[in-house]
Amino acid sequence: MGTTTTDLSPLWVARLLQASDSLYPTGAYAHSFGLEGLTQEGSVAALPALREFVLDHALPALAATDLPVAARAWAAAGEPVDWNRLRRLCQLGSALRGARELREGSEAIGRQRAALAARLHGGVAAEFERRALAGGWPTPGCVSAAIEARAIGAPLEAVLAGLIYSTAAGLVSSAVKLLRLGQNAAQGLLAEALNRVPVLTAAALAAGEDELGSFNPWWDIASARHEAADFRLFIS
Amino acid sequence: MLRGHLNIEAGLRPDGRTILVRQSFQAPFHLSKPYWDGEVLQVRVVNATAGILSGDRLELRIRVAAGASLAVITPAATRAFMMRSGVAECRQEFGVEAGGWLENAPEPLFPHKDTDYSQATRLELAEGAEAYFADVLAPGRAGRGELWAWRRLSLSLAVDCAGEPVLRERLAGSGPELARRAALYGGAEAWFGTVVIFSARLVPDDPVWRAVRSLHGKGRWVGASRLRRGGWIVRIAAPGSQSLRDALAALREIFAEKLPHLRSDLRRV
Repeated sequence: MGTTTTDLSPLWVARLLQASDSLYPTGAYAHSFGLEGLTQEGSVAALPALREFVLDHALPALAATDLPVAARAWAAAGEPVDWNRLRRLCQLGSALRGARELREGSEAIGRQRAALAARLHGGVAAEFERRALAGGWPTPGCVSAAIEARAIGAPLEAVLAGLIYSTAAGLVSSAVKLLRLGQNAAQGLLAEALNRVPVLTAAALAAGEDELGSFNPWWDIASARHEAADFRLFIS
Repeated sequence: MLRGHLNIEAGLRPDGRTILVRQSFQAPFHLSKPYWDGEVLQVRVVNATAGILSGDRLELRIRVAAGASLAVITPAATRAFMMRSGVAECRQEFGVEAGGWLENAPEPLFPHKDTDYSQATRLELAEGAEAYFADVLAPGRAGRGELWAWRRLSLSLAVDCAGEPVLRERLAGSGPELARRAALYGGAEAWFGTVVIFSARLVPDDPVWRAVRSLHGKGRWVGASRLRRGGWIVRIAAPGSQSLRDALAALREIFAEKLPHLRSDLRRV
């Protein structure tokens, strides 16, 4: 799998910044990705526990789930595009989340991201959206991010770094609303998360297909209980 | 060092009774005499040795044909022993055709100190197949105070329905790594149970889900969620062996209201 590019054009950087910005309407702001459920269970109630959850639980899980799937999707979306492989990767990316809210949250963001990429950049993104809609494919966010990267000419490493950023930023920004957490502490945690990009990327690229999947029953259970919670701020 | 296998296929006789139409096994696997209770054929898979040792390579393949009903029980816990060097592996494949029923009700896997064990489980369901598939993991020999002491454990579960992947999960790592993770959630001695259920008889607004959620509490985590293609998953992280057993027994009773094959008494031989 080719992972690098010699194209250092600033255009894809600018477009990736646009896609990673909170202004980009993917709907991610409405999700806590299971964090609200964990705060409701009392497991993540302050910065030390949040830090441990983000750095030691959520990001390593990403390296065994979304990141390797995104890497494979990026490869499959190169010319000639392997549409059967992409359909299968959409199903696989969806199957890596056992809790419905986490899965459907990712798919909702992925659908919106695919639609935006199709509208803004056309090409492979437009064809992906057409096939996904026609075929009823699940559209996990990681696959849509990879397709979008192909459409804007971004290299693989940038896709994976972008996914790590959006995952960490999503958790930290929802934590600001759920916990007593100041903006400076939030940015400190986000910086720590981004320091892990090289390690996480390397782990994701080394993962074989039979090594995909993670295991955190507490996270899944908290998310499952969040589905039936009487009060909640976030969709997931 | 054993190369063992178990291969069985349950089929439907014209009189409506399920029988084993194919069976083949080699040590350490042993199959006790199947028992037909009038609704479900119960088979007990026994590991004739004390447990799993370094170098063991085990393969288990179980198929349920259309219309057949099979319950697979392991009457004793599976122990993955200390391995000073080398590893042990087990591959398990379960398949259920449309209209077939499979219940998998194993005793827990006990990973001993310094074990290095890999287990890959695949469940393949046709559209319209029904299954109640449990998987249970102990944190170690808790009675001896040996917790989270394995060197490496790789447990994967892959579930496909109608050829589409609907669940992929994998526990991989050392005991101390999982112990650190468990500490955040108050699970110093967590016993894990996962039940994957496929049946068109279960719907989202069914009262059974409220009953399942009520099992959560007193240090025991229980949650239920929906998979794609009509599947469900119930997860348990319990603070002790008895708490897990109680939850699994309660779940079976709750779901028996909707899934009549669960009324089969698995302790009756």
